Parts: sequence; C-alpha cells; structure tokens
Amino acid sequence: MKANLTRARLSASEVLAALAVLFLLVSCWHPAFDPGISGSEAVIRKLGAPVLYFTAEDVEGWEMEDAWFLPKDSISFNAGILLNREESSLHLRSVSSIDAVNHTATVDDVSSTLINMLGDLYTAHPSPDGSNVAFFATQTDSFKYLNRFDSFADPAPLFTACSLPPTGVSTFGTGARRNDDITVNLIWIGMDSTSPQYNYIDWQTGTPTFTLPSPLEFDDAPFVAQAGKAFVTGGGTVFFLSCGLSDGSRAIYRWSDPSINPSRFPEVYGPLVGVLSDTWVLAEKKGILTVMDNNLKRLFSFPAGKLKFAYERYNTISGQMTAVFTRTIYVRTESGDDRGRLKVEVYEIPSADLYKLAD
Amino acid sequence: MTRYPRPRAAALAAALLMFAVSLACADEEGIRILFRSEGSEGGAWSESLASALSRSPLLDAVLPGPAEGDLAEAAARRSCALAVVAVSEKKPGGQASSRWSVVDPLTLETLAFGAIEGPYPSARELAEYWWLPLAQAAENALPRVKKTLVRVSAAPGTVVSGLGKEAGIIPEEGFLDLPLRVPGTYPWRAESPGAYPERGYFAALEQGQTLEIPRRPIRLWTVETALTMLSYPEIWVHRSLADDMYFLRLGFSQYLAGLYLVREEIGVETPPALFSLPLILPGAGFGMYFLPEDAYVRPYGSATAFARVLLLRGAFGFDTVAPVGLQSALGAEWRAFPRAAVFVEVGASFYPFCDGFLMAASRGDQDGPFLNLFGARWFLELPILRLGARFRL
Repeated sequence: MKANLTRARLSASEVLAALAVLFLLVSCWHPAFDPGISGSEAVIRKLGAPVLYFTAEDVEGWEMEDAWFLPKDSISFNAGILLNREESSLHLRSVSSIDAVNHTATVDDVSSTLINMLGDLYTAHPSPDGSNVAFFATQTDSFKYLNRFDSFADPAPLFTACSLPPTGVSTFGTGARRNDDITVNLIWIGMDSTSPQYNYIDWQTGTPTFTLPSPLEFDDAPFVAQAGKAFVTGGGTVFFLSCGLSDGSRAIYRWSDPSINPSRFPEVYGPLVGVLSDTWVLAEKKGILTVMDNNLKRLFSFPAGKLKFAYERYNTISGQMTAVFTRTIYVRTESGDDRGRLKVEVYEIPSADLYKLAD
Repeated sequence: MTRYPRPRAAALAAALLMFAVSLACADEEGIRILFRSEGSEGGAWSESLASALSRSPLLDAVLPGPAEGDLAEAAARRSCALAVVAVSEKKPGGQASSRWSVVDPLTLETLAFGAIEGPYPSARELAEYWWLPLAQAAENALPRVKKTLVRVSAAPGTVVSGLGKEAGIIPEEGFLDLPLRVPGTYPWRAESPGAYPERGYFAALEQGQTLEIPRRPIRLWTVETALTMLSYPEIWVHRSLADDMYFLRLGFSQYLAGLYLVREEIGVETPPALFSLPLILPGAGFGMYFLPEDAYVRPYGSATAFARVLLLRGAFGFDTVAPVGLQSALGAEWRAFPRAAVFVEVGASFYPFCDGFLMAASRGDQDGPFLNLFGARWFLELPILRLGARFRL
C-alpha cells in the first residue's frame, strides 16, 4: 500500500482575504530611499565640506517636501529665505539667527506668500550686493521686489511690484543670471499686444526698473503656452527661453541675434534652470543637472538630486565666480504633529570647477 | 463465600493482579490473545489460565473471551492473534483434566490442541504449573500466525513512529515487520536522514499489509520569489542545511520596479502606480525553521545582511546615506504543493552606520502602520512585510 499523504489546505477565500488585508495595509509603502538625497550625497563628497550648515528645530512642516533655502549673497550666508511651493503659490519664511558656530538657526513661522504662475520655474534671486533684498518672478504680469527678508514679522516686509515693460503682456519666460562681479541680469521675454519682445536690465539692488522692450524675432511665439525660464548672455545678443508649447511638448529656444528667428532644441536634459556668467547653461531633469555650453551642447552631468543650484555669485575673497548650491532636508520629528527638524547645507564651488562634479 | 487458605489467596491475588494488568493493556497494540475457560470448574481456573498466558513474554495482551458464541470470530473482531479454549473437568478419583485448543481466528485453523490431566491441582499448582503446556503451545503457535504482522517498507535507517509503542528503525533489509491490530487506522510519521519527513495514515484493513514509505531526498536548492511590502519583486536562492531545518540565503531585493499605490490628493501629483527607484539590495542571510517540513504551517526566522547599491548615473555604488542594513523576520511557510510553498513574513530593517536623519527624510511622511526610529547613525523601520513563494529545484 502506498503512503497516504494528506495535507489540509487553506480555502481560496481565506487566502484572498488575507492578501487583501495585507495589500491595503502596505500598498502605499515607500522605501526608505530617496534618489534625490542619495544622489546628492555622491556630489557632496566632491564638493567637500559645506560653507554653512545649520539645523532648525520645531519648524512648521507644511508642504516642506520640496522646500529649499535661498541664502543671501554674502560670504557668510548668514540669512536667507526658506521657499516652499504649493500648487499656485510660493511661501516664503525668513531664516534668521543663523549661528555658524553652533550650526543652529531659527525659521520664522510667519510667512509671506506670492502667487506663483510658473510652477517650479519661478525665479528667486538675492541682490548681488549682499543686502537682505531679493527679486522674484512668479507671475506673468509683474515681478516682485522684496525689500527685506531678515524677518517677515513686524514690521512686515514689502513686496514691490515691478511692472513689466509693456502693459497687457503675455510672458514667455523670466530669469536672473549673474552678469559680472556686481550685477545680475534680470530678463523678461514675452509679447506685447502685437509682437514678441524682450527686455533685460542689470540689477544690483533696489527696485528693478525696466525700460522699454525691444522686438524679438520669434515665429513660434503663438505656440508658447506655458511660461518658463529665460536668460541672456553675450552682452545682450544671446537669449535662451525654456518653455512649454501648445502641443504639450517643451522646447528650448536660442537666439544668437534677437532679430533672427531662434534655433529650437528639445529639452533633452530638462528645462533650463540657470546660465552661468561664463555662459555655461544648466538644465535639470529628474535630479540630474546637466551643464551645456552656450550652443546647448552637453558638457557633463551630475546627480544633484536634493542639491539645488541656488545662484552664482562673485566670491570677493577668491575673486572667482562661484556656483552656490543648497541642500534643504526636513524631517517631521513628532508623529501627528506638523513640526519637525530642518537641516540646511550650503555649498560653493568655483564655476570653472563644476566639471569636477561630473560623473 | 469461598474461603481460601493464605497461600492460595496470595496466589489468586497475584493472578488477579496480572489479569487486571493484562486487561489494562488490552487496548494497546501488540500480539493479543483471546481465551475462554469452560467446564465444570469455577472462576479460579479461568483466572489461573489468564495468569499463565500473561506470563508469556511473547504475548502483549490476554483478553477474556465471551462466555458463549464463536470464540474465533470474537478474536478476529478484536484483532487477536490467537483464540484459546480450555475445557476443564473434575474427574473421579481426585483427578482433573483440561482439554485445550489454539485456533487461528482468521483461518479457523486449529494450530495446536491437547489435554492436561492429573491429580486435581491445588490453587498454587493451578496458578503456576497446570497451564504450562497450553502456554507453551500458544507461544509455539505464534509464528504460524505471522500474518498478524504488517510490513513497513522504507529506506534503511528510517525512523517510523505511530505504528507501535516505540518508534521503529528500518534495518538494512529495508523493511520491518511490526505487530499491528487489524483492522485499524494509524497515523504514522517517518524520518530519514537526508530526506523530508513523511507522514500519513495507514489503513490496516487486513493481515499482512505492507506500508511503503516513500523517501523524498532533500532538495538542497530553493528559489524564493517575493514581494517586499506586496510591491517590489525580489529573488533569493536558499541552500538547505541540516536536513532542511536551516538555510542560507543569497539574492537581492530591488526598487527598480514596483507598485506604489497611493490615494489621489488635490494639488499633489499622484505618482505612477508602477514605481521605479534606482536601488538594488543584494544580501546574504541565514534562517531556521522552527518545525520540520511536514508541519502544516512551518514557522521560521531569518536574518539577512544586505547592501544598498545605487544605480544612479554619476552615483553608482554603495548608497552612502545607508550603505548596509540588517533585516530580521519571522515568517510562516505553507506548502501548497510538494515543490512549492507560499510564505508571509514580517520583520524589521535596521541600518547601522547610516545617516539617520537622511534616512528619515528619505522615508518621508507616509500614511499607514509604519514606524521609523532613528538616531544620528542608525535607522530602524518596521514592519517589513514580505509575501512570496518558494520553489524547490
């Protein structure tokens, strides 16, 4: 007689019920891994020690996932703004009392809010003279000048609207780029009631004042549907515009002469996020920062991740143009409470050495 | 009331005691005999017969038969190897005789018969000597009813339990004859070095049946496929150790492809359901089953050390946020098919030598029954649920 092997079996319904419960419990689980953080670690090793880092405790945690720290343009970086974007607004909080020795700081709970119509491609730039003022381009009909950001409490800072050159405009792009050791180029590319226009100024501090715009040859202007970033180099001869088109695609336009139609490039490496003083062009896609030459030819890339290119500044000690990166990380420290710990690191690297970060 | 002299009373008490013992053992397996004492003499003759038979080392149980009816049939029903009948008479002149027969209850063959005659025995003589010829005849008859034994056939060295008072070990011949009550159903279990344990139910319906115990050699290699948190596929290879009670595991989990199902929220871009993160986690571990393979559900524990390898362009290599981790788990395995089992396990991951703050930030805020603890250089997350299947190669 053969052995009689018998085994009891779970019913199919029991198995399915157990699976359903498990699935409901864990389907929203996210691994303890963020490529933005881990990727930035690799770059940070190449950047070396941060020029400034601090931890702020008991920080309100509302919409902090993509918050970032914009330091003032000074050698000490001893003040700045914490920016966090919500759907169509940009919240600003002052980061003050930065103790560079004990590496602590205070983030004001009081915030100011700007309407943001440009998504992640808004412009925020501190004044190059090192004062606590900043320029913002978050709307398509006006720029904002912030007269102080050391505190948003009493007295409340003022946001001065800088009217764009023509009235009744549509904006294609705005941006800020370090021009030289003193000034920053603020640029607007858009359209008045009849034709494409551009205008840029050299800004040092105070309320930017735009003059009359100049005509820009741009046959694709009717297809621009989403405003993006704009930059100018070459003393006002080379322009870049990174924007969304009406067919849902995105493109980079490059003018070598404003009177000649631009060349159109796909955003292979993502939207433009900056142009350096030496005319290197920065684009970012999925945390990878790509540096291109002035003709939009890729030079090198590196995984910036949570490391955000803040701006370029002139380092008065080294006498070099320097790229400033910040990494801003927030962790909720109490469950059920909307407060947590903020850790900020500021890194600098001479712009000419950016290639050292390449993979 | 009958009065007995003291020696007789002692002998009778001993006989009763042995009879009682034999009755107590009546329900146990082994070689059993059914007897009946008939004739003009009283209960002392019956008791002395039981006592005499009980003293035989070859008989495991001596049962009194019914006063009337076919004793052989009764013996067959009660799975007895022999039926013994003795008819005793007191004869004139102080003589006595006992005519006896030993019958195979299944074949009804009379295996032995005879008569014991002599002076009427005293109580002591009755208890100690009178029945010796009959007891000897019963012992001699046993080999001729060998069909009451069942044969267990298995690989030499197999330990078989459940078919007797003690486990039996299969000798080099590859079989073992065991006395077994028939008919009957016996749960049995067999263990053999280098093979999976076997178990089953042996329906012993007739004499001489053979139980063939299969031998499934332990398969040393097992492939494990699983879903971390029911989302991220992973694959491991197990090497069985120590008769499948321990295992080494080698493989990897990954986040390159997985499911990430979150509720839609207004103003928040819903991530794609098919999620990808550039991280693989190769590892090696050790595990131990707490029950043998034939358990219905087999609990186990495991511990695995793993590395976190970034597959990010420009950052390929160990994830410096948390280069290594340890995961321990308790699980339960259910063998749905002979070569496939499903399992579910719950565990925790501990990351030493990591940046605890960055790990906490990497984890982010999540709804659900998840717990994260961290310090400056460590991070703990739990629970880690895994569901999967293991396939023996």
